[in-house]
Amino acid sequence: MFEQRLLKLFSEGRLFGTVHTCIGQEWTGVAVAEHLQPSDVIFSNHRCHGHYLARTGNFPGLFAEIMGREAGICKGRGGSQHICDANVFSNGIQGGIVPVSAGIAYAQKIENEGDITVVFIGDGTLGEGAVYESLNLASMWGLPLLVVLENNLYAQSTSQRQTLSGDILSRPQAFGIATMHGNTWEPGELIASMGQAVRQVRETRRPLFFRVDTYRLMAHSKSDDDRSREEVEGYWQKDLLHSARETHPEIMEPLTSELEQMLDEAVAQAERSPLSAELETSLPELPATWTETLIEDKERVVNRIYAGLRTSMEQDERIMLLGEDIEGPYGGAFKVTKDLSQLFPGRVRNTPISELAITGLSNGLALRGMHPVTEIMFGDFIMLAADQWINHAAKFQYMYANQANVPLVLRTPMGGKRGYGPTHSQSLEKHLLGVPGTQVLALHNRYDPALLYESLLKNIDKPTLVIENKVLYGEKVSAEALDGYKWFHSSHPFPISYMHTETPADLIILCMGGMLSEVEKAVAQLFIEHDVVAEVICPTQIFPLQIEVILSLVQQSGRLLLVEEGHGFCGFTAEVLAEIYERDPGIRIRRVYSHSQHIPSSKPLELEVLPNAARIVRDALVLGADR
Amino acid sequence: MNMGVPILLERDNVNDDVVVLSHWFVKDGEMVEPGRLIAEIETSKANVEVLAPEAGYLYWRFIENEEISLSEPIGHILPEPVPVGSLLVSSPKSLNASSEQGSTSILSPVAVIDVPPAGGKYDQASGNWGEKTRLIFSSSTGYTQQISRSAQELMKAHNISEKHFSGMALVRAEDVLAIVHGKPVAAASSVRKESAVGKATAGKASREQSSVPVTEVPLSRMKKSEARSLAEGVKNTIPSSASVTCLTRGLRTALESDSVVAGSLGALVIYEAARLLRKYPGFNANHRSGVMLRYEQVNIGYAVDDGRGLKVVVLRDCDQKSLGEITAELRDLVFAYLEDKLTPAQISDGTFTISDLSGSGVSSFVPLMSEGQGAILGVGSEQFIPGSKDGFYTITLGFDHQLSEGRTAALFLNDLKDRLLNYEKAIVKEIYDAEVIACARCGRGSADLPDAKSYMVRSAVPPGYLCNLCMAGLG
Repeated sequence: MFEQRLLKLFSEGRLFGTVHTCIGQEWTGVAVAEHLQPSDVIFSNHRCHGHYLARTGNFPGLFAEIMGREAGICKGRGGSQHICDANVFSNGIQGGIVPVSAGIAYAQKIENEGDITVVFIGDGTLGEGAVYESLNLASMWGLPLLVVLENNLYAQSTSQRQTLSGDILSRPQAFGIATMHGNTWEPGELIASMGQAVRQVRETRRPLFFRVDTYRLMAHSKSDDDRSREEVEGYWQKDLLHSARETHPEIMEPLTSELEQMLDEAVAQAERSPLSAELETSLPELPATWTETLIEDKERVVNRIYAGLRTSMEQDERIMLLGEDIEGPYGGAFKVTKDLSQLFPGRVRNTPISELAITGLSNGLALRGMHPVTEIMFGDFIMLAADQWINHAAKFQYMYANQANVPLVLRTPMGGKRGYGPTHSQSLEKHLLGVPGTQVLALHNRYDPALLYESLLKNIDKPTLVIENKVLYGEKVSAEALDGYKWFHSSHPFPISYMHTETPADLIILCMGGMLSEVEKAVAQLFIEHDVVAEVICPTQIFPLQIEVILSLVQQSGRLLLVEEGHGFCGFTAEVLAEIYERDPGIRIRRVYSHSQHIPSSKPLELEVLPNAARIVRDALVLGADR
Repeated sequence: MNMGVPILLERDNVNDDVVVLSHWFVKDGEMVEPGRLIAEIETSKANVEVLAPEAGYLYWRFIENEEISLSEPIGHILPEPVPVGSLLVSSPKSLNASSEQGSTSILSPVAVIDVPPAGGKYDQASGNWGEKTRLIFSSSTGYTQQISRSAQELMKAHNISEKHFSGMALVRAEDVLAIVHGKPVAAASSVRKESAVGKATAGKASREQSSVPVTEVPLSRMKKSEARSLAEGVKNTIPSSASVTCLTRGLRTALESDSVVAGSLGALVIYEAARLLRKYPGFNANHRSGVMLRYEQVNIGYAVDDGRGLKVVVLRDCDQKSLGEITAELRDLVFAYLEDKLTPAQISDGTFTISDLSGSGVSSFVPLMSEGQGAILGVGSEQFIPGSKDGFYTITLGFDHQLSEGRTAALFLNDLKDRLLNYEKAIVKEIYDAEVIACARCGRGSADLPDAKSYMVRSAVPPGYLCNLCMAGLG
């Protein structure tokens, strides 16, 4: 009835967006909600109203949310398909919710309080690889996850006959997962079986897959129903609630009018609340002070990363490491994690090769309060995890109106110069820069990575991507500057490193991560051969940028050379140029970036494609040609 | 970071804020034991030896021939040797006030750069920034210098030493050219107009180019320091002078041949002047802001110069010492000067100076007062009229007219003249014997003259006789 009312409201134009009604499938939500405890979690999809209302009964809140009101359960930010309340979550990305749920289940396993997570998918969802990656993980790691598949025979407009090969239950069975089934036309049995399923997951701490046969009586969203009228009508007749109106009017009519009244009140209550009107604000930048960087021991970057992770893990039990090949004695593809799995048993785990699922799992862990640090072995693979980053991790805090947050760290090495070829040498960070709700850091060897990680993990509150650099792993961390210069760093939590000299500089070179070594070579050459004094800015936080501070440094000389290893189009340097230019068009800017092609394996050619000191010197001289 | 034991210099001379590290006797990083001679420091007055205060590994903070401020340690002694490539050893420090390097042990605010704030726009046309914000840097180590290739070539071509750039982190061709042409350093780029801290030394007035070729001869540190001191003296006083002529029958010679005194005119003058200064305290004083600061001690400085540099050795509390004591002390001091072993204590704290040119032939002169003093006594040479037993010499008192005046100077000088004459009367004997006429230059007696044409002539300077051979330069 709620759904019907929604449809009515929609046609009256009192809603925003569309609604995906679950009319005909309601019993699933009821069956599940019947057996859950408060700290069990439901993670649903776009068709989530039934699941939510069955558990909470919060009609006004849901109305308000869909109507875009402040009183909505997510303040009108999430709308119909992104809800979060009383341990009921939903997201509009079908497959992606499964690994996230698995992550929540994993956290519950660690908590050891006997809680479980239920995730609702449809038969259409079985097209997404994320489902299978997650089933694999859930089974292997023994996660208390109950997957409920509402088999309504259609994926939006497409019949199952076109999308599904094989058999539904054979799929989880292939992963060694127990299965059960039921249907919504026998609600009593459904409720009983569901109770059995919930109990089994709770007790065995192993996943279970429950197929519920059902039928969606209304359109996928609104008015987009091309199914045959006879088929749909047949199911209307079969529907219990619908037929009960005719067979048992004495029960249904009073119930109906009571509910109608309740719905009226709920709608009215919802509409009394103002429309959401609050924009997200960002804090103004604080002025920075600069301190000389003093680093006593000279260890390699890889060892300092290890040290930072280790110290943080010692101080915070919530920190877990996930990734491919990270357990000792192998210790990671680049030997970063070394013996951490032996020092912290159970907290450092090798994963299957499932970048999407392990990132999604990490999202779920983070939602439930753990602090996962997940390694993506090569930065080139990070696009496999991009959906989890952009559509899940980045969004949860905002769209759930700060009821949840994602203290997740993803770390990955980028960069070339090892001859690994086009798919193992890239700098792809630009594709993940600028996503609201996230931050991106880039390490270099002039500021101790251990300090960076310790600072990050002590105060982690939002998803953070840390770009490491393959070639820098072997470099020594030291504050040794060229003769005539000294390294300073700013007072930010993730500082800007600044190689400064007393002589007024002719230009500033800004870069990040692995490019720093080429830039340093270029600065030396610029001075010794050309008498040009260049200073270097190398921020560790590349999104969001501390642009006011950078601007204040750049304005001293009025010339800025931007260097990045990635591609220039819409890249990091393009962003810095735009932000600087918007604030001060008087600054002269040039960029040096990768040649516009893919990175070849042949080393000499690779070194030509990627920016090098010679090119940086040339562009710097062009920039300063008017001296 | 453990900086070890610093090796600090003592401030010995009120005049010196800056000294020169003239020589290291140990290598950078060498192991030393306590008391070992490690370095020599050149001050404006003397060379000072530096000994290691304790055992350990000595690390230089300055290189040879560098100017050092007395507040800075010249090095450190560490218990452990420092690994190669460490950042511990810092660079030559700058004495240029504008570069504000800060101390080595404490983080202190250093260069403060005036920089336009966010929102301040650089205006290309006018070359102006908006209002400024300041960037605050704090650092604890110095910069290591780097010289560009073209700068190095220019330095070699124009024979310019690196010392000009001590304190500059980066040295470019244009910085070298600035020294060559004596012009202020141009801004490195036309874009920047407002200054950042650390502008290279500007303000060198361009020298007038004379058309006569010259050879540059650098002046020694001592000479420059001497000049500075005299300039101070002239600046703070209103110099005036008075002279008195003293008759004599050969006081100087008499003193030298006197077995008891076996002394010099210098010692006698010191002795008598010291006592007179008690009577005329205005000449043993210093002027400052309308106040006469009377020294409570009478420390007389005596100028010595054998051609290797003028130094003023100081005899303390001369008014309390006997002539014998003064004579002995003066002799010791002169020997120390000759052997280059004067200590800073021996050349400082003078309250009055005597410049004794009695052996030089100079008839009279006006000596310049030293910094911090109110008077100076100059003693001229004895002048004899040929054939006469009676000669004279001049004593001149230079004095600060802010503290005294001509009348007091005249009284002082006349008193001194009388004292000396009195002394003379006591010891001068008739020494000239007709048979012992000898040439005052070559020592030939009249009997030793080569031929009948040769002759002797009475002479005033040097007193006595001169043979014609010496007069003709034939010796």
